[in-house]
Amino acid sequence: MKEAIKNALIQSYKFLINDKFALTGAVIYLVFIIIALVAPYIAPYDPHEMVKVGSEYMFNKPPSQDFLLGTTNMGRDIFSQLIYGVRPALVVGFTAAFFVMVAGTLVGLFSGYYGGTTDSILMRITDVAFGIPFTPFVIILVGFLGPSIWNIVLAMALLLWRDTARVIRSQVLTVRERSFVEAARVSGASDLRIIFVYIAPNILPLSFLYGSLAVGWAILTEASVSFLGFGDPDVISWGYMLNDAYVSQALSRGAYHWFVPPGIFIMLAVMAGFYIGRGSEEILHPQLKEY
Amino acid sequence: MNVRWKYILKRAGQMILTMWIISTILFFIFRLMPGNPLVAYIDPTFTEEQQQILMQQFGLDQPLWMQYVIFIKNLLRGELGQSFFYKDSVVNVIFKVLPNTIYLMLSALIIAYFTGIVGGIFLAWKRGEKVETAGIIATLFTRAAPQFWVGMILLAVFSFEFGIFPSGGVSQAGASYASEFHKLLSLDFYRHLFLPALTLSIYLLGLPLLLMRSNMLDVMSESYVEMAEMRGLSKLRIMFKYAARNAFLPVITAMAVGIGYAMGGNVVIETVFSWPGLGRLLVNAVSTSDYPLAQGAFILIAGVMVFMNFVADIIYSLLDPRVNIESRR
Amino acid sequence: MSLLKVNNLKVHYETSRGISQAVDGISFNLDRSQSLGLVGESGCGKSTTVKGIVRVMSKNAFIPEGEVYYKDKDILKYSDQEMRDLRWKDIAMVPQAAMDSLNPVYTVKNQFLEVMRIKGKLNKKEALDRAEMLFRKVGLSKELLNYYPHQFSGGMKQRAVIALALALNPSLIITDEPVTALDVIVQHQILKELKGLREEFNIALVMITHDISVVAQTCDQIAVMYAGKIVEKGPANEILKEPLHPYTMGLENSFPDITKPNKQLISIEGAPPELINPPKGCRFAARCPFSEEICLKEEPKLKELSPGHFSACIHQSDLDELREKSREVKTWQNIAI
Repeated sequence: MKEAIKNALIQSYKFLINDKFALTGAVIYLVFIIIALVAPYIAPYDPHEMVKVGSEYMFNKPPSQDFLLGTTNMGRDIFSQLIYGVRPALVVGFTAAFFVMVAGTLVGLFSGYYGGTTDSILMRITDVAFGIPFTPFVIILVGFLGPSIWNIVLAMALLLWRDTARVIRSQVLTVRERSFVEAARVSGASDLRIIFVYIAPNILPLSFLYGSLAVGWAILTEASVSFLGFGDPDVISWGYMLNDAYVSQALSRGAYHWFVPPGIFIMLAVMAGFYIGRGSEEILHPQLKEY
Repeated sequence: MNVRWKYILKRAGQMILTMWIISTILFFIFRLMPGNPLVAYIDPTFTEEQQQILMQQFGLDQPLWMQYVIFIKNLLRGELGQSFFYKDSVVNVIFKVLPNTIYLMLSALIIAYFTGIVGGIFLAWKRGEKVETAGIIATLFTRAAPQFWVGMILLAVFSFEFGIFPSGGVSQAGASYASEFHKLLSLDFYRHLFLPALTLSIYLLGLPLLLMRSNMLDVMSESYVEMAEMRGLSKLRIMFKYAARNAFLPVITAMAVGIGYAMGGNVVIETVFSWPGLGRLLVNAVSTSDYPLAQGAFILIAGVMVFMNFVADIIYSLLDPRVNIESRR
Repeated sequence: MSLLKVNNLKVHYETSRGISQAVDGISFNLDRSQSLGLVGESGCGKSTTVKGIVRVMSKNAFIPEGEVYYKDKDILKYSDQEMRDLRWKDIAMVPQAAMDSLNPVYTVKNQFLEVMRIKGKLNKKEALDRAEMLFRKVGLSKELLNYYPHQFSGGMKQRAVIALALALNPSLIITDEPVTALDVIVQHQILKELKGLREEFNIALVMITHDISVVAQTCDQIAVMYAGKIVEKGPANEILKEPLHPYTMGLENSFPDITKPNKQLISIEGAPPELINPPKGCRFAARCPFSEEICLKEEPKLKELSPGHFSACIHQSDLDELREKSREVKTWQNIAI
C-alpha cells in the first residue's frame, strides 16, 4: 500500500510537470501556501486591528501607500486581511478535501468491490447525501452547532464525499473485472488485500483529482457560509471580508477595493483546484446513476 | 413497457425512502440541539394556551419515539408547525414566497441552458483554436467565482453606479403587487428580476456548456458525422442535425439535476439581492432561531432536489435507446 | 477514358511528435466503369488516400503535393463549396462500419430524402420514389425506410448504405471495407449485388480492403499499398496469380484459399514502419525475405514489368523462383536485417 501511494504521488508529480494547466494550478497553491506561512511578515497590520493614526481612526480610507487596498469601515487594513485570509482558506480547503478523498474513496472502494448488500446500503447512504441540498445543510448545521470554522468543515465533510464515492465506485466496478485482480483472488489473497493492494492504486489518481476539486468547492462553500453571516467571527476569511463589505454598504459607496480583491483570491484558489483536477468534464458531469 | 414501469416504480420507492431518511435526520438534528428540546417547537413568547396546543400537536410531552411517529404523521399531512417569527403556519409562510424562488430559478435556468448549449456547440466546433481555450477558461471562471461576489459586483456597477437596475427586493420599497398575476405582468418585477437571474445564470451555464461541448466532441468523432461530410452536406446542417441533435440529450437530463442544484444556490443570491424567496427565508429562519420555519424550508428544498433527481432518472431511462427499440417493434 | 487520375498524391498529418507521411506519393488511374481494389494492411494509408481525394480529412491532415484529376479537372484545386457539390453527386462512398454511418436519431428515409432533396433537388415525391426504387434494387423492402438505423441487421445496413450511395447517380463509388464485418455468405451476396449494380448504372469503383479474396471477386485492377506507398499495381487476375512484389506474395500466403484446403497460412512477421520518420530506402525491406543491402539505401520506383503491371522492387527477373520460395514457411522466418 505504501508503494502504491508512492507510485500515485510520482504519477501525479509527473502529470503536474507535463501539463501546463496543472502546473499553473500547482504554482498558485504553492504561492498561497507561502503567503500563508509568511503572512505576519508581509501583512503590514494585524487584520483585526482598528488602525489609528494619531487620534483618528482610519475608517473607510481609499487605497494609499499606507493601506494598499484601503481600510474597512472599522478602520482595518484590507490588504492585511486579504493576506491573512489565505490561512483559513487553505485550512478549510485541504482539510475538507482530505476527508472527501478518504471517505469518498473508502465508500467507493467497498461499495464497488463487495457489491450486494454492502453496495446497496452504501449507495442508499450516498443517495441521501445527494438528496440533501448542500448549502442549506451547511447553514443549518452551522447555525445550530455554532459558528466555528470546524463546524463548517464538519458540515462539508458530511456531504462532499458523495461525488467522489459514486465515481470511485464506477471505476472500481471496471477495475474489479481486470485479470490481475482475478488472478489475485484465485491465488487466495484476502479481500482487504485485494482492495488496498491491487485495486486502490488504480483508482488513486481519480481520488486525487476529486480531492483537488474538493478544495475549490470547500473554499467556495466556506465563503458562502461566512458571507451569509454564519461564519466564524474570530476568523477573518475572504468570505468574512465580503460579508463585512456587503453589510457596511460598501457596494453603494463603490468601495471596489474592498470587495473585489477577496473574490478574486477565492476565484484563483478554486481555479487552481480545477486546473489540477484537469478533466473539465469531471468537474461538471452530473453523475447520472448507473445501476 | 412493463420493464419501464417497474423501473419508475423502483425509483419512486427509492425517492420516498430517501426523503424519509432525510426527514429523520432532520428530526434528530433539531432534537439533539444543545438546549431545551422544546425550544425547537415552542417559542417562549407564545401564550400558555398556544404552548399547550403545540405540545399536544407535536407530542412534546411524549417519549422520543412517539414524537418521531407524530413528526412523520404530521409531515405526511403537510403540517410543519408554526413559525416563531411570522406567527403563522410554516406552510403558509413558505408558500407565500415559494413562487418568487421558482421564478428566479426558472428564468436563470432557461437563460443558462440556452446560452450554455449554444456556447458548447460553438466551442466544440472551434476545437483546437485559441477561441476554444479562451472559452473554456472563461467558463471555468464562472464556476470558480463565488456567486454572491458576482452578484455584488453586478449590483455595485449596474445598480449603485449606473442606477439602471434596482438594488434588491422584488418590488419598490413599500409597494406590493395586487396578485401573482399582476406581478408577472409588471415591468417593474422584471427589472427587479434581471440582476439576480443574470447572476444565477452566469453560475449555472458552466455545466450545460462544458457538458454540451464534451458530448459534441464525442459525437463529432462518430462515423455518421464524417459520413454527413462525405455526403457534401453543409457545415451548418452537420453541426445541428448530426452533431448537436445527438449531443444534447444528456444535457436535458442534466437540466433536471441542475434544477436541484439551483435550489441550493438560490440561498446566497436571494440574500445578496434581498429577493424574498425560499432561500432567504431559510437564512433568516436560522439566524432568528425560528426552528420550525428552518426545518420546513429545508425539507421543501430537499424535497424538490430529490424529486428532480428522480425526474432526471426517468427522463434518462426514457431516452435510453434500448427502451426505444422495445416500444417501436 | 480516364475518370480518376491520381498523380503523386501525398497526404501528411501533423502530430505532436512530428509530421506523419501517411500517404507518400500515390499514383493510379481509373477509367469509367472500371474497378480498382486498394489493398493493404491496416494503417498503410488506403483510407487516408481516399479521404484525401474527396478532401474529407481530419483537421491536422494536409496535402503537400500531388494532383487529382477527376473528369480531367484537378479537384485538389477546388474550393470547399465546389468539393461539397462534387461529393455524393459525382463521388459517393460506402463506408467502413456502415452500422455507425447513419444518424441514429433519424429514420433511414429521412436521410435519403435529405440527400436527394438538398443535393439532388428532387421534390419530396420524386425523392421518395427513387428511395423506394433503390431499396428494391439492393433487395430491401420499402417499409424498412421508416425504420431507424439501429433496427437494421448487419447485412441490411450494408445494403442500405449502398443504396444511399447510389442516390444521386454518381460516376464513382468508393467502398471502404464494405464487407469485413459480415459473415461469408452475406459477403458474397453483397459483392455480387455490387457488381450487378455497377454494371447496370455504369459506375466506377474503388474498393478498399485488406482482404485479397474480396478483391479477387470484384475488381479489374488492384493497387497494393504498403506504408503509404503503392508497391504493386496492375490487372487483378495477374496480380493474384503471379504477384511481382514480395509483399504481395506475402499477402497471398496469409489468406485461406478454398481450392487449396491444405494451404499453409504464413503470416508476415513484424509491423509496418513508423511514418513520422520513415526509413530511407524500401519501406518493406525490414520484413522482406528477399531484401538486399541496396534495399535499405535506395527506394525502388514503380517499374512496368509487363503491360499495365507495375512493381516497386529491385527484383525483376528471378520472380518465378521467388514466388516458389515465398510459398514456403521457412522463407518468412528469421528475416535478419
